[in-house]
Amino acid sequence: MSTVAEQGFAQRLQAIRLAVGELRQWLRAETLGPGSEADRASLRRQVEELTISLDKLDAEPTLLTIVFLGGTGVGKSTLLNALAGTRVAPSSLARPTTQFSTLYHHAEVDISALPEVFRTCRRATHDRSELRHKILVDTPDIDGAVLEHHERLKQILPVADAILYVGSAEKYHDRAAWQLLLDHAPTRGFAFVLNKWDRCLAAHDERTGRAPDEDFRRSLQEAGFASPLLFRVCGKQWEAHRAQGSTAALPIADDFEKMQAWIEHELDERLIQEIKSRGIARGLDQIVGQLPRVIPPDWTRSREQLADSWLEALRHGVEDHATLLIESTDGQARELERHFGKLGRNRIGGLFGLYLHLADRLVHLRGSLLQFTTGEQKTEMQRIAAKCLEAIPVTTRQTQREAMRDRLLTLASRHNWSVEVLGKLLGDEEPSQPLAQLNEDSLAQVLVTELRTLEKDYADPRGSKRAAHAVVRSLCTWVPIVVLVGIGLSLLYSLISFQFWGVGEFFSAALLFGLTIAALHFLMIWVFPVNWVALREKLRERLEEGLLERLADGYLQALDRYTAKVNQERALLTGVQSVLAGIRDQIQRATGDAASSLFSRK
Amino acid sequence: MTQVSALRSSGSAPASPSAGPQLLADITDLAKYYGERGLAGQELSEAELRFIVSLVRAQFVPAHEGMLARRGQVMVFGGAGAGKSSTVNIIAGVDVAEVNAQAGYTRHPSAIYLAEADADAASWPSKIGRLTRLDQPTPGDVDEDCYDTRPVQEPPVDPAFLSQHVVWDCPDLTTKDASHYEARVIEIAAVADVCVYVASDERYNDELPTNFLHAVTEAGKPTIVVLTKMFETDSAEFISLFRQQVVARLKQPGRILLIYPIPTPTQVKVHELWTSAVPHGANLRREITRTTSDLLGARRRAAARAAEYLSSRRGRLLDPLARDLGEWRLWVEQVRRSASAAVQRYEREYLERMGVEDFQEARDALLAALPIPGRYAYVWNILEYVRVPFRMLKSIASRYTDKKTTGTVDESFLLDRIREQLLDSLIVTVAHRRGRHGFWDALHRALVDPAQLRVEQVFQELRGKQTRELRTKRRDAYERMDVRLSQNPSLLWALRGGRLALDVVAVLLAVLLWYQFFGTSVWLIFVILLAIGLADDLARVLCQEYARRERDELLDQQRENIRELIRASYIDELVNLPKDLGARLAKLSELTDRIPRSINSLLDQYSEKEPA
Repeated sequence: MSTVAEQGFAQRLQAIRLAVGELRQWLRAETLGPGSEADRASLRRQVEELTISLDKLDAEPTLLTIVFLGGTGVGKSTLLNALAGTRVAPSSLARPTTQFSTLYHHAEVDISALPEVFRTCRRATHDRSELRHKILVDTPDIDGAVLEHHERLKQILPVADAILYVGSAEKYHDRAAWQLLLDHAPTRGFAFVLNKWDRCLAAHDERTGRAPDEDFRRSLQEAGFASPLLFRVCGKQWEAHRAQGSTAALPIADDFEKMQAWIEHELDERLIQEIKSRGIARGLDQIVGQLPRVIPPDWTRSREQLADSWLEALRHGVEDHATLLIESTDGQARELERHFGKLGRNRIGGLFGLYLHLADRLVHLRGSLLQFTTGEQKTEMQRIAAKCLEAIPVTTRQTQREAMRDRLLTLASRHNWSVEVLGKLLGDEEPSQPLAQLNEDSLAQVLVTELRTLEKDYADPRGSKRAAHAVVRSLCTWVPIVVLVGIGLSLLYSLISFQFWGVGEFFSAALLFGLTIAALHFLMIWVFPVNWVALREKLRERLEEGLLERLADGYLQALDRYTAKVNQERALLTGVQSVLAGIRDQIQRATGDAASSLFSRK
Repeated sequence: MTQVSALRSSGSAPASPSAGPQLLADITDLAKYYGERGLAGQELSEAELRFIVSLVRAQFVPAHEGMLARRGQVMVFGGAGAGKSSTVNIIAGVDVAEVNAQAGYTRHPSAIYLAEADADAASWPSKIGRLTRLDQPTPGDVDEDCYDTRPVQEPPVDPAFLSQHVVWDCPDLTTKDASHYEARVIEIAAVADVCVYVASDERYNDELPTNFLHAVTEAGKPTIVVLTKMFETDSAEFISLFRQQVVARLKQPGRILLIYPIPTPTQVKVHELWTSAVPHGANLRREITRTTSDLLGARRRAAARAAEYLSSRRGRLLDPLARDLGEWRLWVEQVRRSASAAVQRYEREYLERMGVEDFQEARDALLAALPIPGRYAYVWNILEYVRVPFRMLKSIASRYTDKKTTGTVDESFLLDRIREQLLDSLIVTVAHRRGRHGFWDALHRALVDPAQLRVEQVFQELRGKQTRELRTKRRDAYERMDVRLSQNPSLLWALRGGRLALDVVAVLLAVLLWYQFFGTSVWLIFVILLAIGLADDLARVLCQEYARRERDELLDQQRENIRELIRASYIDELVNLPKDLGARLAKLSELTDRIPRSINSLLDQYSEKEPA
């Protein structure tokens, strides 16, 4: 049989410590998992209690801490005095009596090595060898009108390995103490005392109801103690009796001596170790049982689903934004048409180029007629983009941005993701976050970029279009010159041949030149369309692609960060769970069942 | 005449005779609401709430007749095993209450009184609050919301006392199951005229019974304390300890009439104690009778004190509701804000963009009525040909001058987006507030649960109706014009004549002016063409104006429609979530004023009658 003192057990303890350490760290951090704050609080409590048990094992591996638990006036202090044979704890008629816990322990026990809370107690030492490995703790009450006492009791209870539940004729199953019994029954060994047995006997009327001990036993069975260890005791009489050192029998027969024998002798080292290892196994079991409430589910699949619905929502959102931008360009349609028109004829030189420039200046009537400028497209585009954005009301932009964020968060919320955490991950306050991609500057940037790409495609096409452009460009450059040269040559010829031109000939030459120019102009318009309605559809596609590219990455990364964090938590907790469950099973297999009656059924 | 009806009729012009029943109805509503929402974490406990409801019923809406009205009610309460039943027997002077060692044996209250001719079962109300009357004396451990009556047949020690009083043996307040039956004690505490608190040496300062003692004394019940179980020699010390530790902490220590020790001799069976405690019984009865001899006056005083108690508990009673209302109002505010944002978006992105182009039908319908039909149609046709060059020129020019139209948005599509955004923003806001109050958590669940969120159906129905109406209205507008023109040929011909006259005037004016300045030339033809073109343009502009007027009317209608649509399908539905709570809270919000008003009115009504 393996016991707490053995080598193998020490290794297990080390493993428990490691796992519990991880768990404690997790409990301190912010979590993404399910479970309410109450779930985490009870897990925290269970972990703390287990840690205290481990700490005690380190300091005094074979020391059993027996804590007295009961309402005010049931006679806990009296009972301790009777066991000690002297007045170590105050007992009186005042209620509640005991304000602070009293430790009754052997002088050799090093209290300073034990958990902190032991040091806050009053102490009474003895040198009785039969109680060398036991600390008896008298505690304040749980049901009196002085509420600080309840707190003090709750502080000392976690150190208990075993609890001596003390009840009296009046309050053997009172609410407050019973609740504590139920809270601690899963992890601790319990023995029970029905004190003031003399009063029970005096009060019992055979005509009605059950005798108190019978009723108490029944309540305990309901609470899961199949065959509770119950002592019926007249504590007050024994306190006086022991104080006087009398050995005579009491007038009423009770179980006090049996109880004393149990505490002093039957609770031997083997039983103590069994109680302690059972307690630890039960503590582990409780934690293992509680963990599933806080372990986050596997988000990998959920991430895929959410990512799909997010992408779709993003596409919708991007469409909205693209529409907004496109509509804003409509106001600048003439500027844009002119700009693109200029691009088309930029490389057209000669007479036709001059003609186009003059025509453009005439139509737009701005700047000097003779100012030839190239290379100002960059600033021109930015100017136009800024003007476009100005046309969109700020509230509209903001509304759309918020609509998109809310849509994404709502989708997440429908998939049970934490809106608070995701909201932080997506927050548009921080510039590094994805939604910031939709702020004013970025929008202008996207618009400029996409307009420029459009411009580039327009000015520098590929494939057959490129050849067509080149042909048209050279035609436009050279045909007017050829025609003019032809006209010049015929004029020269007419001068040489002295057949001077009349008005008709001049008119015909002018008409020919004019028609040529007109024909070329139509050709150019046909090849370089400058109609904005046709261009804007292309721009819309580009904007949608560009925005989606910018946004999708950021959002999906946020999702990935979240999923990674959740999965990490999940891995940590399931790891801890399986380690603890394994150790629990090992301890349970190794533990005997001499102490089984002290523990409740699960 | 019974004493209570005497009390009622003797009242000198009560301030508001309906204040009591009104308060009871209101507090019952409030308690029902609190019962459903749960009071965990609130300053008001369920027990206190129950006590307040019962107290209002017992003090301000009492039954007219019967044993409750006729006799002084003496209620005995305390922790388990403190000796309540023994004390009942001592006071009654007869062995009638079951004395038992089993802690928490008694589970329902029993009324102990002297059997007399007028004291049959029917003189007991069939219900005291939640407690149903049992006609047979029943073992004390019957665990139901009931009370039993135990008429004492054999003459007790002091039959006169028991013929004027009812002594109530109550369940305990302390054992593990007491939380489910303490309400029964509370009902009896509310009807009691005198309370007897039994405290043993062990549990005289226990939290739960002491709290109950605080409650009954603050509520104005005269109380006698019986201390039990100590040795005779400890009596004096026990009394002084009780004074220091319990009485000194009471808000109303003056309402403790007497602290009376009944020591327990050793070697005496507790259920036989009453026989040896005959003198104690007489002393206790004397003290009780001192209070109840003037039952009317005692009850009036108790009512005044109860009113004061209610007044002092006003905040605790109403604060949880006020907080819920605060959260709910925040929600309503949020819904309204989001809804108005939705309406604004619709106006901005749909209505404001709607050009006259969408109303070309109206313009075209009007234009179509203008040509001259019949024999002289060729006149019009000729004019049409003449107008062609101008129109062509204008259309070419307009390519350079017209602003590009943005194209109208699909209204249903936009509305879907707007609605989606409306709900999304609310869901996100609510999700962020989930930790703050249970209300938001329930709200969030309701918002993401299609079964609870019924906006879609309401929206679709109303929208369908509005669309049909709008279409009808639009059609009506054209039909109206058609009908008006066809019914009114003179108007039609006036319009046609006017249209023709416009051309004639334009041509004449152009010719005259040209002739005046330039004389005759071939250019005159162009001038005439120009004039006819301009006249045509003018006519179009006028028709356009007509269309614009139609549009504006329709826009107003649509603006109104969207408001109505969002209000009916969103605001009205959403403020009621979760599960019609909104409607309920709106109704309960009246209570925050009415309950204090009723309490004040009761305070006025009773305090003037209480002698100084």
